[in-house]
Amino acid sequence: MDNITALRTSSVDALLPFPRPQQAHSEGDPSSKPCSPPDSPAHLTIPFHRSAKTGKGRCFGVSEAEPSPSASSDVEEDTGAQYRQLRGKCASSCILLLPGTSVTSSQPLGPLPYTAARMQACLQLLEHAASANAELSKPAEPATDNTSSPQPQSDSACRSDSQPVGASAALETAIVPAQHKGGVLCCDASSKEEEERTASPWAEVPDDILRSVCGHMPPSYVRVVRLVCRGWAAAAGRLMQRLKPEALEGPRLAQRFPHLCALDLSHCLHTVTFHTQTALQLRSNVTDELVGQLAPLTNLRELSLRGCTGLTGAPDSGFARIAAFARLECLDISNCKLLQDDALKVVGQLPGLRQLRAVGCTALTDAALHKLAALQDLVQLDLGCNALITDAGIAALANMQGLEQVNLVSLAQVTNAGVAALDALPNLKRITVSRCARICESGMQEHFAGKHLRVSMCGTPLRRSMCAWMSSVLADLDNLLFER
Amino acid sequence: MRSIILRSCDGADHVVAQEAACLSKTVQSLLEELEESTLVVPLPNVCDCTLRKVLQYCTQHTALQRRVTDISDELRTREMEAWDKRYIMVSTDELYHLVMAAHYLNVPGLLELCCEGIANLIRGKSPEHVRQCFGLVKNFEAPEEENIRRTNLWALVDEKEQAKK
Repeated sequence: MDNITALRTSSVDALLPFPRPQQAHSEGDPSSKPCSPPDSPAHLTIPFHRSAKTGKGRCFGVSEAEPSPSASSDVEEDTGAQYRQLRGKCASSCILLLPGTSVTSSQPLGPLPYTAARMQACLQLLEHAASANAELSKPAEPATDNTSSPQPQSDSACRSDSQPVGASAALETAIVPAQHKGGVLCCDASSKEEEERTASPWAEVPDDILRSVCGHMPPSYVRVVRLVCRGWAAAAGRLMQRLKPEALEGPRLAQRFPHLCALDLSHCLHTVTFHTQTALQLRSNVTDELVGQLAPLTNLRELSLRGCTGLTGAPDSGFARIAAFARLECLDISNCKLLQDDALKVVGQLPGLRQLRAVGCTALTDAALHKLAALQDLVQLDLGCNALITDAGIAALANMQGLEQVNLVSLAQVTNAGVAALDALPNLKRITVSRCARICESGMQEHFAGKHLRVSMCGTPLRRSMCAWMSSVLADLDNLLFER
Repeated sequence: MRSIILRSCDGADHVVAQEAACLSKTVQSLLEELEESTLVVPLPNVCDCTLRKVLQYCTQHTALQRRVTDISDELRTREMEAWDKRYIMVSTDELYHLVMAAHYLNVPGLLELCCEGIANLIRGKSPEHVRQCFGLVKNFEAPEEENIRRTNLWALVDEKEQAKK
């Protein structure tokens, strides 16, 4: 215990045992790293942004498909996930364990009252850690990396002294082995830095503080935070809850961000294919297989696959694995033009789904809507612009007791009879039937007059009789929108 | 108004109005657990000078909140923000102790304020500057750093690069 120079009592509370992360050495030469070959080297990927509201696309520069990260990142990510489980609320414990120390304890995890007994237990752990470190402390190896990347002079000067700069450095901030303090000092600047290196407690800021800090900065600053030190880099990955990647590296997404709650893959990674000599095709690279690889993200609550035109949802494809998203509440599959009816069978198996947007899935037919009948908790359903849907499909919705809002914009084949079937829904608050060519006012008159229902009929051809009817029932209707 | 005594880890006592002390959820729950008659709450995780700083925040904010009658909402918010801004101008070392204390004592407003202060320190800096600012060590091997840079690319949008293109 003699060589403990700084021990902040606040971090003792968080001293929970966890296995030491394996050293993430990069072994072998980088060229041997697994690297997913691009399916066609001629393809260019264009990060593609589109604001959903305005529909205006912005197109940014052309970039090459990125190679996969090396295997070493997997090690780190895996242990990162483990920390989260072991540490519970507070992440500050990492500095209190020393390199080479594996401490086990039967201490219960989680926030406990601050008692003398607990303090005692923590101190015992510290003692254990310190003695283990004394055994391990050998003459530190000089840093072996001949750094080709640009580095500040002061930093490389520091590396030449006896301080080990490696995976262990993040773990030794608070308890500093005494022999490390007597390192050979090159110049004044490095001696100052040496002092700071041993003193700074910032490396062990708890996760939730770092998360809050990141919340006050533009998202792009997360990358700066990740490059600061190893502890922050690991925390930044653990903290990520909402993600809209510009490009996608398949299964690594699930490994790297295990706690994602929302994932927006809309219009992600479009590939330009010169289909024929005259036609240009813009197709999303998000495939059924890729969506299937996301299945470990069991915390996911929102998933947007809007505009992922590569999805088919074939029964034997990876798309079927989205049934694993047991907590999913919002799903957006709009403009997935190739999505087949079978895909909605899987969607129908998501028990918690409350919001489903399937606008412009032009391949969907009535059979798809029958498969959604099991979604009793669905509140909002958006089916606009699906040209193949007829009255029979709409009738299938009448069993979904939870529905409050139904959007039937631009369904060319749906008639009054179809909409009338929705009359049975007890909780229905709003129907939008704008631009449905075959729906006329009489249907609305018969079935929805006198109900406190918001019926929006923008763009429906207005006739004189319609106007007369409206003036008579306007008092009953909650709201009638003409916002064309 | 009932007053209580908060005892820091080095044994110094601070007398403070209960209302102000209860901005800290930790103190509040401790008071609920302890008996009615107890007036001394020991806080073993907070040192004397940090506790003084925290209590400065608590008393100032309760005082401003109680002045409901004489100033308008907008004016009060503005006054409070100006005060907060002055209050959070401290050294990084002090800021660290403050944020850890706010975290332990669970004072939501102060925690938020500290995090904003930290974010302001980070904003606009390169990783190297951030390290200098917080006295951190670059503990990446070069390949590892390169790896992080590369994984940054696919997950996060670089606004500057985008603007250039």
